[in-house]
Amino acid sequence: MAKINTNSNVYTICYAAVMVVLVAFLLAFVSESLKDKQKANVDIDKKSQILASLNVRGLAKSDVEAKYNELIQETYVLTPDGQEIEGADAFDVDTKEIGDKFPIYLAKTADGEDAYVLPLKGRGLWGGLWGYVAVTLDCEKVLGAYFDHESETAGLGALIKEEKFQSQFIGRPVMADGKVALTVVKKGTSEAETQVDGVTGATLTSKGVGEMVLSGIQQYVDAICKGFEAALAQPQCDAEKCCEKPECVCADKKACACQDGNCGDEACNCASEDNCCAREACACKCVE
Amino acid sequence: MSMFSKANKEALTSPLNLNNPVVVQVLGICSALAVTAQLEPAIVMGLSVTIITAFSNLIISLIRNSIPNRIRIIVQLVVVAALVTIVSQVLKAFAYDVSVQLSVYVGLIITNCILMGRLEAFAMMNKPWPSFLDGIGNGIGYAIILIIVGFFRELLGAGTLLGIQVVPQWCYDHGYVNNGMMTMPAMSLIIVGCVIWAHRAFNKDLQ
Amino acid sequence: MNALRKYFDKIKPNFEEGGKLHAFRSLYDGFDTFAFVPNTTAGLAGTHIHDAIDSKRIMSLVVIALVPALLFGMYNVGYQNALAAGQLENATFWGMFWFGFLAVLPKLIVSYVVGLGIEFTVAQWKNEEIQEGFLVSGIIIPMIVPVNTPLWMLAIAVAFSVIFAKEIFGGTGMNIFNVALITRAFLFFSYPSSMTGDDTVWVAQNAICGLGFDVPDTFSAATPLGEIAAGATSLSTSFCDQVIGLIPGSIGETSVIAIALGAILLLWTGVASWKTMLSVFIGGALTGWLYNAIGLSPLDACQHIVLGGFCFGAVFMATDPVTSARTEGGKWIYGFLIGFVAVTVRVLNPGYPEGMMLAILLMNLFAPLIDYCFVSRNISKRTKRLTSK
Repeated sequence: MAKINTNSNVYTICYAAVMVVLVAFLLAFVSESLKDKQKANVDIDKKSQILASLNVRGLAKSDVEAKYNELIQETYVLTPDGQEIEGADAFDVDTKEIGDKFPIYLAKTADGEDAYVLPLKGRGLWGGLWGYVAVTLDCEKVLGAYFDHESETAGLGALIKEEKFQSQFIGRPVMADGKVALTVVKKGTSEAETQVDGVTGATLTSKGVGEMVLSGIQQYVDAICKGFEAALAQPQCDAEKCCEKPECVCADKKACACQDGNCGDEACNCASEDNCCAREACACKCVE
Repeated sequence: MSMFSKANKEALTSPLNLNNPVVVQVLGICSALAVTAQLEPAIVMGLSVTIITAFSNLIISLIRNSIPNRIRIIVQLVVVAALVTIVSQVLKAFAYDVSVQLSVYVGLIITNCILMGRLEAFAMMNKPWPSFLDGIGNGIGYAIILIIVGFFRELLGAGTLLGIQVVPQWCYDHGYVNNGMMTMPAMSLIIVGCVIWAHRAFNKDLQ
Repeated sequence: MNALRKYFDKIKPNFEEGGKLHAFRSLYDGFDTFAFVPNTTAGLAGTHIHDAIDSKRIMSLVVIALVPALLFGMYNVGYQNALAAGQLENATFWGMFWFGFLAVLPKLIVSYVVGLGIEFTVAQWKNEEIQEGFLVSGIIIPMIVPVNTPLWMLAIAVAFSVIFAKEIFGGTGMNIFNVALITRAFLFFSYPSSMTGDDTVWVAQNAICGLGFDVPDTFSAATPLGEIAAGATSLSTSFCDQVIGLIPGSIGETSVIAIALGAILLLWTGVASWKTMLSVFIGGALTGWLYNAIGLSPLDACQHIVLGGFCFGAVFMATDPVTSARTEGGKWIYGFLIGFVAVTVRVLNPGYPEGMMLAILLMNLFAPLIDYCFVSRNISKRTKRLTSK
């Protein structure tokens, strides 16, 4: 066999071309065949974080999927003005997108209570923070919380990832005076039930978590809780009879008002908690 | 030539001690600092590098006579890059937690000087089998240092080893605090320095 | 004094070659030359500066200069304790002082025992004389840490810095970084929760031997800089207290007046360079004024200088002759940049309320470069002068 001149231009170019094609095929093949497995890993990680906010912690990886399916009933994605995005899965919403989209998980906690899990994002001292807070369906009480961080100081800010810090949130009221008041304050200065003790020595990370929780949940409440239940469960209500069902609210920023101002034996009050207008005697409709 | 002739054994064992890539040649320091905050990623990183050095050495040695001289560095890089990508994909699929901890550093194995150094210095002029052994030896030599550094950093920085609590709760109750600096890269530089110090103290001829 | 001299002379043979305590000769030598100026001085051959004051005497001067700040620090420890317990009216001056004394003394002892222990061991091992550098570091270290720093942390940090910041570079006079500051930096990065923050690290909380008061758990006291970093726009202590030093802070750093006493001594004896000291203040004041003027910092220039470790760092640590710039012009630049970096870190980095330590360490690193630039500039200037003739 004649020795090939390995220094010729033609040989060099051919060699490079063949090598590149071979390697490209090889890598494409590997990437394609492992893709599902990788996606499953990422999903399980996210699911176990969501489960942590529902007070299910320390699950083996293999059990996460089943537990998640058991506890998460339904998911919604809302726009900032409270409209549900049809067919969107909250799970597919990336943490970065929170603020433009509001993913919500309807779930049960470890104790079987109904909860909404609200994904949040914020900023700590050195980098991003994110978390999941489980609240009751009326957004009044925290049922569980999970926080994580990109690069907070080990031993200080990084402690927000620990259960010890997160479990302080359980049972706290979310609202005070009609506004979200849940936040984190410097340890020892807590004045109300809504103020959770921060991590000692990590003032700014704690503050970041506090702001994330406060403004994050407020955004959800602004966007959603007003029209929460109706928008989620019964998005299309009859304009005339929209108020007949307790879970309905009016679309287009109209308000519910009783037409005849009288609900049988008692005065009609559309804003009342038991939604008297929903009773048969009342005739409510949406008005500007 | 037998499989484990003296020269071959030399190729395998000398990088473990007297020709260690990290403490003697001072290569691959960057990743030694970055991934050693805990023992587990250090072990995985060491293994990954061992696999990649061994196989890139093997592949380059196999095709060493056909590589056009002018593009040999590029060919080496492509082989290393392909192997690194495969390892990183496999880690993502089968060891997700570790791959999150290692983050970009698996990809950065491409730039690990040990790899290119061994390819240029050994695989380009030796037969496949010795090259393979040389790759394994250098990879393990690198891994040993990573594991030593990772051991101390995790033990002193987090009180755990491989994620298992080893410093007893009793110590924490009595005021012991984990050393936060151990989790920072700066401290691993100092530990690598100490390892080099100890290594030279025992091997007088290196001084 | 004579008796001591006689005693030293009497025990001397034990430490000489063949004596039974020969192994401890460096220890003997160290104490002997500390107590008495040695009779032998640099040889007459070659270029040597002949002065009655050797480096042990210089170190002693610095230690004396540190004493006012140390004593005031002790008093302030007691004062802060009484203040936090709300018992200020029940506390006596001496009660507060002795409480502080008892709180600070163990730190002083730990610092000296660990540091000198390592120095003596190394000197013995390498067959060298004991060097005197740790005399100053040993007293500075307890003064730049919070009063609640656990002793074991202090011991580890002192050991770390003496070995890694000093001995591996070749001992006293060869270190790149200020040893005391490396101790503090090690503590700061290793045990951040015991070193920073707005919590309880700055005030001693338990009575010692019946002195002082137990402070309730819920109490917390931040340093003024800590308050600012946490977002406060005004301080809870008065400017007057800040100057006198009755504020929470590291043990020796709070009182501007006590530090000024030390500064006068250092400048009067010429031990510290007035250029370095002055330029640190100028740098800090200008930078503080600038940040205040553009609205980044609620503190004015004056407060930046008074608060935190600025004065202490400027007087005792920036002027460390080993680690600072040595050329006359370089001192100006070195000092100015320390002031600039310190205030910049304070204002711009929310994680670090205090920047003096980082600033001095950073400039320690650059000091040789600054010197190099000045020396080569001088060389080229003189060459030009020579050639243009």
